[in-house]
Amino acid sequence: MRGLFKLLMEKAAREKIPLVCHFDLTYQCNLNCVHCYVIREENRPELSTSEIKDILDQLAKVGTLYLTFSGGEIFTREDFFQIAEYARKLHFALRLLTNGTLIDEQVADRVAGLYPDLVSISIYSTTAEIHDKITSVPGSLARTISAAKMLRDREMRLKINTVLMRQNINDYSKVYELARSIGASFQADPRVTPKNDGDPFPLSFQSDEDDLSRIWADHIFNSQSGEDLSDPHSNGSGDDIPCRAAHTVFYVSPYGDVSPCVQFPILCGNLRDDSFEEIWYHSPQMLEVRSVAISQLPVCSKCDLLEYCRTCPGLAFIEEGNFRAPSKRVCQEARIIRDTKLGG
Amino acid sequence: MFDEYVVKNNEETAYRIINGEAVVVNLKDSTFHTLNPVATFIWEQADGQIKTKQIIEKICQEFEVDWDTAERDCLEFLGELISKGIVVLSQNPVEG
Repeated sequence: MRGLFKLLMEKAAREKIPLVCHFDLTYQCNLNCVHCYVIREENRPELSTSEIKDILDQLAKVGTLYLTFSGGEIFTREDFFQIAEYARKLHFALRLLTNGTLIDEQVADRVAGLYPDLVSISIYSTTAEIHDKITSVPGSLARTISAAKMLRDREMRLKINTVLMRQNINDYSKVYELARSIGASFQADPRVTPKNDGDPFPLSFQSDEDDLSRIWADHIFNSQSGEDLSDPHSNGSGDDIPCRAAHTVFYVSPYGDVSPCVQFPILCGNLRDDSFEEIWYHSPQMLEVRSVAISQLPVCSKCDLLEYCRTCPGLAFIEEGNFRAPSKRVCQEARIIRDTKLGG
Repeated sequence: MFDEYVVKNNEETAYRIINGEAVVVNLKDSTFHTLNPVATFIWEQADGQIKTKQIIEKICQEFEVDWDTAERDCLEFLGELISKGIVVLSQNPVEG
């Protein structure tokens, strides 16, 4: 199965098929997570139901198969099921990212009726004081865990995500055990990104190097399940591209802005002004990102950490304003991974 | 008698046709399947209304083969699609 998926990704990359979309349906959220990258632009209206349906028609036509709905919190949109059910009629494989707090038994039934390929829920700690402090909403952990159980009761594929920060760096093993106990998969990620307007505030929660070294050496962290289909870094192609962004992966914001990845805020066009095909195949920004080859990166191509590196031109763009430059955060991570592997 | 059965794509699937070949995700177990052109043709016909014998007729026309060849191929590929859990047969037309 993984082999077939890898072949599909290679074929899609060769033929420039935008197979995987991350679509933030809204930046509205009922939580207020301290590390959130989202900045709402109050003067810009979010896409309407009919605008989103039109975009989905376009994406189906050009070959997008995997469609991740995220936000913000997707269930704050009153038209969420109208959109999601429409997407299923267009035969997308849906992946839903949610905090779970708005899911009750009725909502869980409707989610099950979408046959989602995966539902991902973020849990930062099994200790309410820690999780609820990160989300800034008392009681949120209990509601999220309740939702996770409701989804699993309906036999949906569920993944528990956890972003590792200073506040919860010692809690992920318990989150892992929780995930296992309810039959969910688990993914932890120590990457925290600046806000989408460049504000570096969330970086103040980043784990320090000692903690990163410790978690990279931990079997739980290293035994995370296989390839994440929606992760542009899980390249799978083995060729000369730094990641799948702009090759098979792209991002759509609630305002219709298109960029190569959710972590790569370079504006390639807006779906209120241009068709998706126009942006994907002809936007100068998209084409420039697509043209990047590892062998042509001035610093990274000569770096002895390359074999340990999860190259991320998006993070480099956020940090340095130059997606051909190395990202300090990615370099640090590669160094830690190398030392962990060589140090046994 | 098998020819009278109605063929339908399992609703717990997602798919796209890429260069004439269907790429199908079985959402029940997240398995992933690529179909050859004949299987893709059957997949595209399987709307819950069409009978197996009608698909065989269409294969004869589309691929310019005789009935026996079309029937053998159709049954072989239908068997594969059913075993993958991405197509179902029923005795009566299926709504939706």
